[in-house]
Amino acid sequence: MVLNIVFLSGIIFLVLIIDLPGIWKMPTKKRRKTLIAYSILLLLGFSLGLFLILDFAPVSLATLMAKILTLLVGIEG
Amino acid sequence: MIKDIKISAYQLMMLMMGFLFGSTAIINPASAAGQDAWLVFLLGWAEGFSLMWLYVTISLNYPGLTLVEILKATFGKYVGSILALLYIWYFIHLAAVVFRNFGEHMVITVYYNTPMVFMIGCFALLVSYCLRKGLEVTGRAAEMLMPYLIIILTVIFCILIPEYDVNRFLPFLEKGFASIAIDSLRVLTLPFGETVAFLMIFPMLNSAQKLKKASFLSVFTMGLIILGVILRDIMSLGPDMLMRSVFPPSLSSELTKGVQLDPLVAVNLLLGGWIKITVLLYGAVVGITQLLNLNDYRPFVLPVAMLCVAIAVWIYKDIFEMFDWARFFFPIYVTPMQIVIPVMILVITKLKQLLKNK
Repeated sequence: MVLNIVFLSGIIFLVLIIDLPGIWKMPTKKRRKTLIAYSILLLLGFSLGLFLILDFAPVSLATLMAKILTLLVGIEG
Repeated sequence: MIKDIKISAYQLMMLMMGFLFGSTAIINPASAAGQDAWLVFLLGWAEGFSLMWLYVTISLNYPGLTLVEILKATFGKYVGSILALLYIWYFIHLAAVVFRNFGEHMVITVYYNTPMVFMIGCFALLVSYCLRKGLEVTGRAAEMLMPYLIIILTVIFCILIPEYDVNRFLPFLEKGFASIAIDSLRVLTLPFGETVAFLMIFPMLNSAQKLKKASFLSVFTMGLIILGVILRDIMSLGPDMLMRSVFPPSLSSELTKGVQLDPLVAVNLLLGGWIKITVLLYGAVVGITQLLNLNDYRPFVLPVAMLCVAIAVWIYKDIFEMFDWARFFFPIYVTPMQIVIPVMILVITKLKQLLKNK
């Protein structure tokens, strides 16, 4: 588990190394917007990955969406 | 930056063909209909043409605009942006679904001891590289590689000829026509309705006059190829095995004695799946970029690909849930994005044009 977390953090670090120089060259206003969206996306990916490694992820997305669709449309799988 | 990208009509055609083939390399969308699967597909294919007409007409009404810009122009800034967000999620979700299909197939049929996340991760790396290099690169690669996909399918079709039994098409219309019509809607949503993602790519075509021809020709050609795959599966496996097997194309390719054709099916999935995921992720990252009024989509490629890999692992408990979801919930879930919203866009556009002329 620890190894998996280290591996996931390593990937995030690599992604940052690849992307940040390009983002830094952008004009200030666009850079700010890009950085916010970029951080949100990266954080989402990282936290979902972490939850999966720690076995904290609740139910599968399909089950979750099936429940919502059953509630909205009323069909049973 | 985004508008600078230009692809030729032939490249668009190859991209669309690869996209349509995508997961169909391993999943038969009409298999639930058994011996009538070919009829279900024929009907779904015909409906697919009308859906393609809808997407092409929308794009021709808004020359040079992508789906996100069309949504903003049609529904206004706020509602348009919310709908654009919905489409961005849809593209990311669909890409994760294709990643998972690929991972499940590889782990079940070829790489038994390899963790699925590793397979999906490697695939995501390839897709991200292509996207960062630009859509032209994927277009050129598709132009080069798609003929191999067609050759591979033809080879498998011909090698399996000794296994074919035409009696496996009988009894004809066993479940009645109503059941066929309902099942055809499943084929409409997978794979034809998924081409709504091309509304993000149509503006990149170097000559807009060829859009209609390229789109319809690719739907026609790939429809013909998928029909061939379905006929092959019915004739070689029979309706019972077709309905029960997890990956019918893989199973039918295993029928030949002395020749191992399964890796060819995996190559097909790799080609089709790669194009499909690239197009979907392109739609998602360009959507995010245009929603935020930015110029460069490349910084978003790696985070979105990473998010997709995480969603692909999380999305289903197991392969049974994957098929259950694809069969019961997928058509309902995708209908608003594939049919309802595009129809609304066209109706609103026509109404606006009418009011303007008065």
